[in-house]
Amino acid sequence: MEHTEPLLSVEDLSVDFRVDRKTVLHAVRNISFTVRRGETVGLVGESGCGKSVTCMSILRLNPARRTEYPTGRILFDGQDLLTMPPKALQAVRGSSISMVFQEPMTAMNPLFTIGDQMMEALRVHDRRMEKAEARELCLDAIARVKIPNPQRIFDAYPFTLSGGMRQRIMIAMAMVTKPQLLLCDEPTTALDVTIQAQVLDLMNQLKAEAGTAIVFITHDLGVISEMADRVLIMYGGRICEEAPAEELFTHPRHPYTMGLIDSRPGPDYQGDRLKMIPGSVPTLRDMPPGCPFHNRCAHASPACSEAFPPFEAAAPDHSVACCRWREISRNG
Amino acid sequence: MKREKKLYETLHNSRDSRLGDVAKRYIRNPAAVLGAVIFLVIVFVCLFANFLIPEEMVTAYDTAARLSPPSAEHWFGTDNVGRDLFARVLYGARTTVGIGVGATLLSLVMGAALASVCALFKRADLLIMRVIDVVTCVPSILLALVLLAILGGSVFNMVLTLTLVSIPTFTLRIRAVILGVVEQDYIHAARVTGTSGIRLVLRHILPNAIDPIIVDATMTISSMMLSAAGLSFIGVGVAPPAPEWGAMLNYAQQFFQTAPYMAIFPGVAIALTALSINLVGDGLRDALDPKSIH
Amino acid sequence: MGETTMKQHGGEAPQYFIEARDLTMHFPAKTNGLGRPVSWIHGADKVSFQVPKGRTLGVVGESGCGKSTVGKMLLNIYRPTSGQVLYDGRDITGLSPRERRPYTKKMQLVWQDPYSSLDPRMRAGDIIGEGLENFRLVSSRAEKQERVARLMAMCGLMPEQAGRYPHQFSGGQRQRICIARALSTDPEFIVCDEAVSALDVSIQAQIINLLKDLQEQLSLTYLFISHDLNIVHFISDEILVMYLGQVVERGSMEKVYRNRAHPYTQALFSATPAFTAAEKAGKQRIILEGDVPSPVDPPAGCRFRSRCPYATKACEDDPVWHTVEDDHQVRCHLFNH
Repeated sequence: MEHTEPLLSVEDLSVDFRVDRKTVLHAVRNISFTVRRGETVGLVGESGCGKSVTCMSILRLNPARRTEYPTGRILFDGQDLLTMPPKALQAVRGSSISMVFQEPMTAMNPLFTIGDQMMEALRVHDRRMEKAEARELCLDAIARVKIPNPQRIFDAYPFTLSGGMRQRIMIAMAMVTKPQLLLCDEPTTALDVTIQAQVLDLMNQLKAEAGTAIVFITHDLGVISEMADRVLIMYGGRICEEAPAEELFTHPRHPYTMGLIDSRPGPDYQGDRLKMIPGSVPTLRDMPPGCPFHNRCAHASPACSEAFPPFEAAAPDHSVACCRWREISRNG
Repeated sequence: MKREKKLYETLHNSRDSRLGDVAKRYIRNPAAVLGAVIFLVIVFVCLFANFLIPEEMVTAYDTAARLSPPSAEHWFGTDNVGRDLFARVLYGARTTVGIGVGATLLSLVMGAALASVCALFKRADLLIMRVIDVVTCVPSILLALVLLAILGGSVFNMVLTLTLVSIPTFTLRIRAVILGVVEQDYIHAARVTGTSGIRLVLRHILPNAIDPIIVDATMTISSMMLSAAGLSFIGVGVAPPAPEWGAMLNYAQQFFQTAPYMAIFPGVAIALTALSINLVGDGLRDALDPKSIH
Repeated sequence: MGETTMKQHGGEAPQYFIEARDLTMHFPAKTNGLGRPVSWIHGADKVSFQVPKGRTLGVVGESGCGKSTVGKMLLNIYRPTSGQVLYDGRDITGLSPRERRPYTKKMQLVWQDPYSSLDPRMRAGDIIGEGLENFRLVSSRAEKQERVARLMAMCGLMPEQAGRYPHQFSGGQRQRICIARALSTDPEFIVCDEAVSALDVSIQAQIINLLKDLQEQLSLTYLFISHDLNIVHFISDEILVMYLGQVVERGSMEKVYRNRAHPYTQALFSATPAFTAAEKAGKQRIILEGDVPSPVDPPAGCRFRSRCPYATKACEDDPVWHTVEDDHQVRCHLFNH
């Protein structure tokens, strides 16, 4: 697959939440990354690491009254989404960029049928579209997410569907406008594993057919390794490591990435105890200075608490923000 | 015996520590502190009115000075028969606030007790709910009228009547909250650790269910005061010469053009009391919730 | 007091510590006008298992398979429709609250959601100390505080934090409070109902290790309910695979893992995403069609047959248990010969 020109490029983005006049929480700090056409980029991290906030910033869906963007640009097709006028942004939302949420039930209006909601999405963006044409497109989209009887689902209400079915409908709804970029925020977390496997399989197929780029957010390393071409590991509002998926799981460089991978027992894990990262995940209110991971890191040096380290290239396409990565990386 | 002592001890201990925290959080809220101060002044007036002004002043009338505006002699002026309004407002606090607070507290306690029984015993729930269904079919004002007609008008009977009339609403409200609380995991968790019966109710269910009700209850105090006034006006409540803010307000209506102060002072008294109670209620709600930040 | 009653009824030493015999739980689904149920949700159907003392039985399955229901029946949070729970050889189903009390003390639960399972209006120390008071394990306030401090230290919490409220702790710490509370009554058996699912990945390992440490120190017996196969595989000695209220496969963890017999077990294990190249290489994905059917009045026969790639006409009859190997059984028609 050709992965060349960037479709989306996030440059030095910071997101602050204002709590009151004195308090500002730094949810995301100075992150940069790009998404190329047709590529899947995974954003991985634990609660409060800023992965969802980053994703919401792309469509400016963070609560408007409290959110500030002190630095950064988000360029999509050459236009900055952060400064775009609301009307123009509205045109991008749902047509060139779509989103799939974690909990499909709350993202659907319970009072309308699936068909009504899908057709509405289409006709908002193209007012001249005929009802019959919209209907055809929707039925086609439902069929493409492998639902056996599209007509029946088209006329159904959201609450009559199972979780897996709803999530597939969400994907169908997101794909019906043929977006160039699909944002997925924990799309399979609420699903059972066998259903998750179905949905992931489906997303990979759709991506291959339509060439849509995907930003995939999850806390599940297994899911990300099956979905993503490139993975960004986030911690405490920062990106701490970026690498192609295979490379990241075989040669992790950042101590946090290593800790995350090690703390998951693989099926062949031999040992009496799991390896673990001590301490707890910091909240936005008690974020340590410097490298946010330093107080849980076994390799931390005094310098780590002073400044966030610069990105260094550990391998082609593989960069890491840790001042001691050279000493601690395991070669193999 | 021993068991009861133990129960008392544990309750006492936990309440002890909790009360301190609640007070700490309460003091951090200036509006709530202001409300508490005003309310304490009103309570003070209720308790010590007879030290401030001799009780005869309430009914003593001076026909020559009828409907005179506020002056150095009569601070709040006089009414249509020449009674001193300042004395009447001061003594009126006893009746009005007493009725409002008394009836609310009583119905809150009764409502909480009935609602707890409902939540714990299915059979009793069925019975109590049906009784409430029947009682709520009768308009509450009618019920109050009948009760007062039978019992006769006095402050005590007024409290009793208002309590009886509002028990159903309180029970229903608290029951709804309790039914939500008993399904929470932490209630099951307490059961699994061996907490049961009264202790489960007093330590876990009621604290979590009552707190949301407290704000409602404070609002009820003012509405109780107004109901008392209404009943007095109809003539089944507190008998006319006795001072009562609501009744005074109602009388004042006829003289509003000529003597507006007759309405203003009892009116302000009612509003101030209601406001202070609402501030206290709001403050309590926040203070009772350990999660609130001020 | 509890000890003696238990011994009287024990007779000879029982083989298993906790035993479930045909545990069944049906919840009313729909009721007619008179409040009589007309259809039933089959929460669990004839679930049987045994756990030896000091071991861990893992229960896996997807949502609605009845794994939590089983845990709650053991602890009498749900009263089983039929079947028995045996504790150290004694049937403890249908006991009066008074007779049940010693077993309440011995059997505890760690909840899935550390946010909703702690009373938000109580301090951590009071939450942990509640069990101590309930079973009169302490006689004074000072003794209670001391025991609470010891429990907190044991679970990796700082005893100075006893005066804090639940919301002032992180998710992992809250789960430690839940564990400390469960340990307060000196239990011998603990049901861990999705005890780590709500936690962050880096915290899960801490809690799993804590549970293992405690098991060693206090020789606890666990029933570990989870949908996460990797974690169940790591912590369990034996496993129970459930689908739609029924057990489909059971046996020693290692044997079931190496030699998955039931088509559902195979699909479940293959659906768990692998992230190392080595794991991925050895993996053959089975993607099941369709959804889990409704648990309301499920049809007779094998309940997995609507999604099973190997379903035949024979599957419309109820499958029976077959022995795959020593300490490993499966309930599937494929093993009929």
